[in-house]
Amino acid sequence: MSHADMPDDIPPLTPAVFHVLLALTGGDRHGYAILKDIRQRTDGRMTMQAGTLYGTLQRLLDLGWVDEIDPPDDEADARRRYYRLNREGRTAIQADVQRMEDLVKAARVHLRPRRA
Amino acid sequence: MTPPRTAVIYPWPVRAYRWMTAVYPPAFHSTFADSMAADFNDALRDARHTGRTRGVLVLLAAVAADLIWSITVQWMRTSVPWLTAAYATALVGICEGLAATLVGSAFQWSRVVMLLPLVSAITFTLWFLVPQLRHRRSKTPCLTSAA
Repeated sequence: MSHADMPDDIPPLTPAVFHVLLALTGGDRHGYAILKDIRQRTDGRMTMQAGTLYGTLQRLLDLGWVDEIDPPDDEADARRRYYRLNREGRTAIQADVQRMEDLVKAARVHLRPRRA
Repeated sequence: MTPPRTAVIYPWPVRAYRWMTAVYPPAFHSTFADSMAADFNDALRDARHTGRTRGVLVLLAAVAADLIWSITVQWMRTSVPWLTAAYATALVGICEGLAATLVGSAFQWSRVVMLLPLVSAITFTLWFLVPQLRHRRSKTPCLTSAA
């Protein structure tokens, strides 16, 4: 996605939203799989519990960035809910990654050692 | 042909956790309580397997903190706390104003401020309990036979 394609109306994502969206880029997942993915990917630096996770998922469903899908046929526990990242959600996380890349680039320019 | 899905019977800590999720706003509870219980069941199993007693204690502390925080956040996202505050303020103000008019005592803001938390707590409890009771009543199976 180029700079020109990036939507301007997406605010910076909170860490919880960012990590949940990032976990869902790996495929459809249920709640505990999302929690495990976040813990493993951040080496345990970011841990989330179910209350925060489902509050975040509720917001993402309301925003229309994530869809709830039917569980796979081999799912033993009927009480589990599965989630899928949709195109709007992918656009949102790509926009946030681009924003952070721009921020890092700008910071590197300022932090470069100056010649006397 | 896929095998039929069966209901999972959870151990008592998970059932207790499931019971505690009833404190969330009713809409959130009805949507996510089952998934939260399933996740807690898996987390507890993993903590027992990897961290033994210490792992379980760390998990329980994290889950307790998460429950307190997320229940507060979810209630704040509903209009109930603001409606409660507005209703309680109006109620206490009207009562104090009536007392001042009828008895002839001076309108005392200090009394209003003192009564406000109490009236708010009672109002919020009623606001919380009524939908819960309605929800439970609607889930109670009908015992009368149609035949």
